[in-house]
Order: sequence, then C-alpha cells, then structure tokens
Amino acid sequence: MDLAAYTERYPPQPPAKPAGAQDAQRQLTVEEGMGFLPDAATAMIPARRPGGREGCHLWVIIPSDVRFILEVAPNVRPPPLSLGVAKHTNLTGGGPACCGGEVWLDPANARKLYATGGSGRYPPKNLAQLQDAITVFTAYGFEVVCPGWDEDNDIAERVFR
Amino acid sequence: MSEADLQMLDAVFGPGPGTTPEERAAQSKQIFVRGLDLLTFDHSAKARGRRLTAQEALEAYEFDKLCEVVQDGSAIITSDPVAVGRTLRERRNQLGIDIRTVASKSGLVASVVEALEASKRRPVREYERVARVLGLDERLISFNPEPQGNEKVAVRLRRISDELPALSPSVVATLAEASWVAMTQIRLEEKLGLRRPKHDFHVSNNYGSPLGRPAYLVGYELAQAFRKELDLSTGPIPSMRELVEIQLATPVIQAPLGEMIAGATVQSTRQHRAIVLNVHGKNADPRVRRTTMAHELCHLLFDPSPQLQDLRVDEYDALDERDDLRADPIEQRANAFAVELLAPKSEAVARYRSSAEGALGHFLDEFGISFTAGRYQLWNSLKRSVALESLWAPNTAPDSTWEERETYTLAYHPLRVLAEHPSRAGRFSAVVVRAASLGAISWDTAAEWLFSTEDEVKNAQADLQDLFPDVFKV
Repeated sequence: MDLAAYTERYPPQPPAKPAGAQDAQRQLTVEEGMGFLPDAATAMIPARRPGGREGCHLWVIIPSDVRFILEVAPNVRPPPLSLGVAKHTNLTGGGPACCGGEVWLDPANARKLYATGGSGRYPPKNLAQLQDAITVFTAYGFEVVCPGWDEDNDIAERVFR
Repeated sequence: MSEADLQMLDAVFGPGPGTTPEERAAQSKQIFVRGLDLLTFDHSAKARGRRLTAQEALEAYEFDKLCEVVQDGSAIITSDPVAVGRTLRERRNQLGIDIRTVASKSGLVASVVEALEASKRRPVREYERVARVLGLDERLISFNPEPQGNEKVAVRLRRISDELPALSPSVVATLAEASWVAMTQIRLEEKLGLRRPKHDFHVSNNYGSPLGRPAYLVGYELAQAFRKELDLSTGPIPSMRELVEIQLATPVIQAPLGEMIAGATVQSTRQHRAIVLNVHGKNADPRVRRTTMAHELCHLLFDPSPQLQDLRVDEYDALDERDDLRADPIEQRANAFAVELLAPKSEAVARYRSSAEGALGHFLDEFGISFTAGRYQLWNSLKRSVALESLWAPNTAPDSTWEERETYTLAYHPLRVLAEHPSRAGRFSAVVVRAASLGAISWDTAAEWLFSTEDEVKNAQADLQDLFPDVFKV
C-alpha cells in the first residue's frame, strides 16, 4: 500500500489526547532534525538494539509524507523541549495525522527498519491499520520488522522479542 | 507541589483529594491493564491482560511508570525481553522440578510452558500462572529481572528433596506455591492493617545439651511460657487454627503434600513465617492436624533462622517418635512443645486419675491431640509409672467439633472450586476478597487468584465475612 492509498483508507485524525506540554505542539523543522522517508533514512541514527531508547525515532504518516525525528532531538533550537524528548505532535504541530509510532534503523543494513505503532497521540486502532502502515514503509523499499499487536493491552506492541 | 505535579496526579489517578501518589491511588477509580510488556489504562474491553487498581499498579510499578502511561499512552514494563523466561526456567531448575510438573500445576500444556521459558509472546496470564506455581511474585516477573519470591526456600527445597523421598516434584511445587500464598497473604494483610503483632516471642537457641537438660524439657518450658503469654488456661485449646491465624497473625496454608509429609514451616521474605499443613494422610484426623500445627508453631516462633533454614519439612513418622528418643534436638524440642501446648502435663495427670476407664481416649478427645503424642504425654506425665502398653484407646473417630473448628473452610467454602485448591481456601481467600472490596487489588486479580469469575468472588463476599469476621473489620 502506498502513502496515498493509506491516507485515503485511514484519514488523518487529531491527536487522541492533548499534548502533555505546551511545546509538544511546536512544529520542529528539518534543521532541528525532522526527516522524511525514504530519502532522509540515511540520516537516521542506527540502533544497537531495536526497542531501546538509543536510536529511537518517532514517525508519523500524514497525507503529504512520512516524517520522523530522533526522539531525544539533540538539534532542537533553544529553548530545549520541556519534556527533554520530542513527541509525535512535534512532527505535526499538534495537527492531525493518520498514524504514528517508533522506528529504529538496523546498524548493519541501512534499508532495514524496526517499527512499532507505539504512539500515545496517533496510535493505530487495530492490527490491520498497523500492518498497512508497515506496507507504506515497504513500498519505499525498506525491509521492516514489526512486533505486531499486543493482545494483552489491545494496542500496538512496543517490545521486540 | 507545583501545578504541573498536581496536573500529573490528576492525569494518572483522576481528580481527588491528596497530594501524594499514594493518597491519590487510595481514592482512585482508575484501572490499569498490565500486559507482558506494557502497562496502559483500561481503554479497551478487548484487552485480555491483568486489570490492576491504581493502588496495585502504583505499588508494583511506581509513579514514574504511571506517568509514562499518561505521556506515551503506554509504559514499557519489560526490563529485558528475554529475562522473563529465564527467570521462570532458573527458578524451576532451582526447585528441581520438570516442565511437566509445572504444566500440570499451572493448568497449561508442556509446550506452552516451554514457550514461556523461551520468553515467547504469550498472554501475561499464562506467565503469571507459572510464576505463582514457582513461588514468584507474578507482578514483577518481566518488570524486575530478579522478582521477589523466596529464592532461599527454593534452594532449600531442592536440597532436602534430595534427602527426603517423600518430597516428590509435585510436593515441591505445592510447597513453592504455598510460599507464594503466604507471601501474598502477608503482603495484603500488611496493606490492610491486619498484621498488628499482639505478642512478642523471641527465637531461642536453647536446645538443651547432650549431657545436660534434654531438648524436650526446653520444649515443655516454652509451651508453658507460651500459654502464660497468651493468657491461656490449662484447658483444651478450642481451635489451633484460630490461635495461629488470628491471635498470632500467622498464615496457615493447607495443601496436599502426599501421604508422608505432616507439615512445613516456611520463612517468607522479610522474615515473615508461615505454616503449611498437609491435608492428606494422617492430618485427615483433626487431632493429628492440631498436633502438627503445634509442632510447626514451635519451629515458627522459636527456631532461629539458621535452624529453620528457610524451610523445615516434617514427616508424620518423625512427629510420632518419642520425645526423649529423638536424636535431633530441634525436632525433640518442637515435639515436646506441641504436646505440652495441646495437653499440659498437669491436666493429663488429673484426667487420668479422675477417669476409671478409657482414660486415654477421653484425654485425646477432650484436648484434641493425636493418639501417639497424647499417649507419650500421658505416660511421661505419670512419670512412666504405668506400662506404656496399658495406655490404649480404641481407634475412634474424633469428636466432630474438632473437625468443625479446625477444618473450617476446607469442608465448606462459598467458592466451591476452592475444594480443589485448598491452599487458597483458607484465610487467604477472605483477605483477597477484602483487599478487592477496598481497592487494594482489582476484582480481576481476586478472581484469578481464587480460580473464579469476578461475579462469583463478589457474591462470596457476604459468606466470607461471616466466616472470617476479623478480616472484614478493617
């Protein structure tokens, strides 16, 4: 499924809950570390272990593109983010998005991603929406490992086993 | 406390009084869902994980994790994805029991237990069931790489199972689970304020000496001092179960331990101790069970930790030996304590002299003591002035009142399924239901622990209140 088909099937929705901090709605820029798939994937920081905080990027799908940022967002212009990390809403300016999650770059393969649907603001509503989001990544030519759906909590799984 | 802190408290627990997480949690109606990896709010009826009250979630995972749930929609509570299976496998190996035994005890098939030990993605409830069978704190199995549970008991179980053939893998697993019941009951009773020590007994290193005073004399003295401390007359003790559970606030776990084992004393974490009583074998006679309980009580109250060794298991045969012939001073002292506690010598002599015929039989029934123990006690009380063989009693059924007082909820329990799970059928069941009614644990947790549905547990509340009124006074 390509981006256009995905956004048609899953129209953008406002954040599922309010941003926890005022600056969580601040739109971050490319200069501050936001990138777009697939081209900017080379700028991603590889992770030693998918699922860890190191190398964790946040992603969102909106009708125009798929965007991401390193969660710890080291290049944010002053003042620093009050929570110390970026939130998905920093990729949308607090606006609507189709889906969001976390993604890590394989350290040995620049075309391999580890992606979850872990987002408090733009979570996939079910496994099908998550799987379809993954096909957007694969349509860009990435090999993607996804931990799937957590039946215990009825949300996207965030831990790789 | 800043406005932001108060806002976070509101977001985690909902609006309410109090300025600390503990105060807020105590009033909160918020329900969390614990999965194998994640903690979330209870947002979906389809979620099949463990429902936790705010108090439960706060106690197990602490405030920072609950804040993460607010900020990120979920909090990762798995410290290491492969640690959970490793923990289960290592504990099973410590206990020396095989996968089939664990599977049978937890109601799962062996292939599922293998998958759990490989940390495969499986429902958290399956992990919890296996953790409980192994005596582990199931709340922490993926959260903490070394979850609380009694590791020393496990090690000791393994060691003595090599020496005691009666400790089959099934009995070892039952004892491990009994230690979980004790650990959980103690934790909940502390939380509910049910554990207020009324008496202060001190452990005693005095086991007599090989050439001086024998250990059994020390046992007699301890029993006499014990009666005095509790203001007990020299008459029969109406219910050992009540004495131990209510007056001494000590868990008594009744469990199937085969035909050879009488009972055990386990040291839970934080120095708390509990008695495990076999419901099979000779303990089927409540007089024997009282004797076993009195024997274990001596270990529990007076053995220092090195002597208790975290777990002490007693066989029926050992409890039947004559006190003065027992080689082990620890057991000799406990045996003497038991008989003197249940049937003081002075009373034994008085009863014998006032009863022309069938003196021993009346004595056993009146004081609720086993034949062997009572017979030796009477013989010793008479300074062995009569032939032991002359002290005889017909093998009659005990007075039914002993059965009622000591068996209690094993014979009848409002949750009938607990007849198959005697270790959960005692005071534990009442403490669990009370904890759920006060929000200390969820009804989901209570139902899981009592092998019932939430409605069944709620409906049993009134009956349990009648059976264990002191638990429901808090």
